Amino acid sequence: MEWLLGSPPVAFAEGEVTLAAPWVVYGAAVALTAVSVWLLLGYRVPPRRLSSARRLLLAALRTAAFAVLLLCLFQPTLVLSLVVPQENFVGVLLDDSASMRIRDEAGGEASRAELLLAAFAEDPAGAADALGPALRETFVVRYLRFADSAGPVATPAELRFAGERTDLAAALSGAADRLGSQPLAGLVLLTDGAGEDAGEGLDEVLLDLRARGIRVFPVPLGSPRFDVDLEVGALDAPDRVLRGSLLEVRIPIRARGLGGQVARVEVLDEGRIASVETVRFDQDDVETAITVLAPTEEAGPRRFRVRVAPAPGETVTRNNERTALLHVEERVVPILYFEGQPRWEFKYVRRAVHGDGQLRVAGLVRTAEGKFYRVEVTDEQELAGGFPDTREELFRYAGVILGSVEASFFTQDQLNMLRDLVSRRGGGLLTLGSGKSYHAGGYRGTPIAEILPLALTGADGGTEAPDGSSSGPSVAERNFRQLAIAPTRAGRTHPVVRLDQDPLVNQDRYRTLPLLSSVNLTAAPKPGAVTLLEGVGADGTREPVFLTQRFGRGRAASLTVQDLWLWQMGAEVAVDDPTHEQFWRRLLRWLAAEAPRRLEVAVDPSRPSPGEAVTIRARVEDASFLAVNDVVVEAAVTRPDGVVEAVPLLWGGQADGEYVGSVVVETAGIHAIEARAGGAGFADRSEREPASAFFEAGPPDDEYFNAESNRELLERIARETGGALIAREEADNLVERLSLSRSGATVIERRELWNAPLLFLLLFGFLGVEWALRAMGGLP
Amino acid sequence: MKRVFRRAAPAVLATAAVAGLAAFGQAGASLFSLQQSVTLPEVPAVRWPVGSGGGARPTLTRTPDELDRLQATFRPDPNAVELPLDYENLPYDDRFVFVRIRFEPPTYRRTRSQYWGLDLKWNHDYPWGEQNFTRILAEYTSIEMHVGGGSIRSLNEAELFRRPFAYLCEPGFWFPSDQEAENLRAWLLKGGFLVVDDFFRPRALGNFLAQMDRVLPGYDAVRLDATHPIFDAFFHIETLAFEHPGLPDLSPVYYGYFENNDPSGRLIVIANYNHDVGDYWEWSGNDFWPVALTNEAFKLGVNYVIYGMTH
Repeated sequence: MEWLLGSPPVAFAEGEVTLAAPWVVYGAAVALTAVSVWLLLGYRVPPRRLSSARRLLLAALRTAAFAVLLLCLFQPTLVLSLVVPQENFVGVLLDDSASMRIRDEAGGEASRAELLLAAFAEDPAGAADALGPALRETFVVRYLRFADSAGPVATPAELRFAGERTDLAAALSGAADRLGSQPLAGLVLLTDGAGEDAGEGLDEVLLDLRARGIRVFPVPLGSPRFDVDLEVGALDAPDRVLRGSLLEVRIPIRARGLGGQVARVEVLDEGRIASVETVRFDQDDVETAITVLAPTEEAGPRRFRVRVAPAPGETVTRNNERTALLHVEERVVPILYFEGQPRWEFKYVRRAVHGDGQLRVAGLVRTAEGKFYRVEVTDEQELAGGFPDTREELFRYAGVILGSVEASFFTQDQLNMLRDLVSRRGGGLLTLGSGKSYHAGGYRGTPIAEILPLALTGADGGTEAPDGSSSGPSVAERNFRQLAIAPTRAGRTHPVVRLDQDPLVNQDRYRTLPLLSSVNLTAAPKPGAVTLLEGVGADGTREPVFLTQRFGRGRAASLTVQDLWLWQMGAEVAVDDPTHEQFWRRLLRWLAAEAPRRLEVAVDPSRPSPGEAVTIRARVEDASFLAVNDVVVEAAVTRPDGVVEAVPLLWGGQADGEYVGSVVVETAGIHAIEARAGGAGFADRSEREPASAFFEAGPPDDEYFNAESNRELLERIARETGGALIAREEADNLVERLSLSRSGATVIERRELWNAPLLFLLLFGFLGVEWALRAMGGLP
Repeated sequence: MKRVFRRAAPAVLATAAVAGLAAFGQAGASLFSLQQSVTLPEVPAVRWPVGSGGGARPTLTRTPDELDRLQATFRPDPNAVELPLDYENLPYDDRFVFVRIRFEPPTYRRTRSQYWGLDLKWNHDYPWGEQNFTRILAEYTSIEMHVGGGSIRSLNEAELFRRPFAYLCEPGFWFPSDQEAENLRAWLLKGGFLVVDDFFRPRALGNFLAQMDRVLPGYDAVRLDATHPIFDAFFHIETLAFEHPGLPDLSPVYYGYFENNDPSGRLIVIANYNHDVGDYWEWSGNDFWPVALTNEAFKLGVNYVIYGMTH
């Protein structure tokens, strides 16, 4: 192509084609029209043996030949602006991060770094097409290294390949600032583009480069796809968890080249194995995620490490583990259990949580009309007036269990409060099955029905008067049915429902549990609900038995069975069988442990590097969980060396109840934050409790994640700045493209095009074909 | 009431007659010789913290730490001989049912003709006792329940484990087999609440304590006073100084067994020694016993049920 055109195609893309004599265009057009007409007339002379189509074709060919001739006469010229040799700069950005040490080049023989150094060696032995010499021939080359920071280096030999992050945005904007005032032909970016957030913040930088006309030519290093690799993705785990709860960690795993194989995933709590799971990969290239439940036995800041055993032949093994710092909390979560009548479920729920230091289930039973029996109350005042009738009183509890109580027991305001407990206060509401629950209890159309994960319809055949005075069999008698309970697919990995880590054991344990019963006919789950347990009736029909959903800030859960206590009491259950306790303890934790408290504190980022500033945010709410802006909040940050720094948190004026402060991290290690609020509205004792959070400062651990060469990202950089992706071997191409830059010190070069071989071939082609056709037609 | 013994109908009358004469208990006690001689243990009286919140914990001879973790598995006793009786139990539906424990006094087999073979000991006050009591219970409380009767279960029936409240009377004549004792232990440790009633004089108490020692080895019977929360569970009972129906010289004593032998914990058995609460219930419709005392007996029963269902 280059031979045909006389210049490389990229020159045509970059340069401009002009005609030397524009005044002849008119004359030529007139002449060409005249010639065409004359030729058509000429072919009309022996009309008998030529079809009109053939005649037209012959005339067109001849016209085309004339047009080519005419074009040559017009003196077409390619105008290029070429950089002046040795007067222009090229910034060469060299990736100095640790991922460059990965040996995935040349079939695993060479590391990315070695190839980079080879390309810029001073005296390339046997590599005439190396990038370094080729660039140096035409340009003044400036080397800049980058990793977590960026800066100039004299030669590539100074690189250490130890950077813990790849910050492309900082590298590019730094280079543009440093070289922008020089005649700059462009930037060459040698990188693998690998690393967790290598592309963070690029959008703005790319726009800026584009505006300044600085083109970037990325030269990708490393393999875009490892042959064999296992990588643990970013863990999805809560920041804090109540001691004794099962920690639910979602672990994304990407596997390459391990189709049909099994990997062992371990969760370690401060080095001790807390949970083990295996995962099987169906195909060679799989991105999957597993949910592992790990017990949390000790309180305080705990490092939970997730580790996947390395597969043989893995390219990178350092991406097989991830660590998350978790706050395992030691505190008491208050829950209110209200029963409209003494019944067995109440007794057994209390028994199940008895001895669990993290849960306090205050019980209130309506033993007779207007008469209440209280258990597990902290003082004489608690629940003395029956069910709470102010938000302040109700919102003391992080969760509420409603047992066998009809909707008409509550005032409209109390029903609204229960909804607000979930939606606004962020607490949990659990409803239990009974003859006075759901539709049978008249809850249809109440604010409670909005929260519930199941839709209430008239399926159970009308409501019963709360005093049971309706004639005929009661709802409970009509609808009584026994159900065998089994976990659904979603339930098998749910921290409440999963009874055993081994799926087969889990299934068996459900199979051996006593049958439960229900009297509530319920409609389908709501669209956003998750069914965790199903009941199988005597005739094999399945129905949801335990459902959950999020509602506003909180959670709602519904059990449609009325006698979960049989899991404790049933004759077939062993005396020391832990199922019933375990189920309730986990259920109540799941329901209420994540409910926010009046003072909450959080940090951002959760894993800062030393030298980085950490923002501390506290959220303060009053007893009815409305944000307050006029309290004094202070955080005490305890550094790993024991030094305590007081950081005042101030209301930022933006979000209600949000107080912000910041602290610069000086040392690596675990930092503890304890925030306290005081002042108006924060006088009562319970709210003087501090809120705490932890973060661990240390070098980031990003480099070995997403460690495959990121072509997509590099292509985007090239595209958006007007550059191009250049292969390492294409040194000439790179120099050519850089030379055709419109920026920097350039000279205008005009290249005549009339002598391009293409035009000559076209002319002879047209005339030759015409002659051949004429000869075949028997024309002279 | 359909659920009656065909054979027991005259028995009820006979029992009623004997009870009415206030001579039956004594006669029964003397007619059956206890199989073992028992010495009465020293039983401490303790004071209870008001409410369930804390307070000083009474000290006992044996601490929970000293007790082995008791194991128990329910199995029907293959050697159990149960008299074929014709009655129909209530089907399970999660509602409260008053369950009477039936047992076979071993001496009964030798003296089949005693009271025409109809005094079964465990059936004293049946069925009027539970008929009247459940009516009162339903009237006063909001418990959803089967009114006007109850079920009869032996310690060999799995169905007992779906009924966490049971009533046992005349434990002076109660000689459970090893398996039955283990079954009752399993039932109590899982969460059952047992009311023991209608026994008097040291010999009957001796047998009760001896049998309970087999049911709950290492557990102490603790003498309760009126400050225990069970006497404030629904009605506030000021004093426990009631009269035994028919034997006014006896002063009732309330013994309790506690989960993990921890008197600050859950009461799992309450025994009305020198008392016959069920007899008051049975005859509440007649004028055998003073209304005031009958009333107190109902108050005790209601409190027992409320406590048993909430603790």
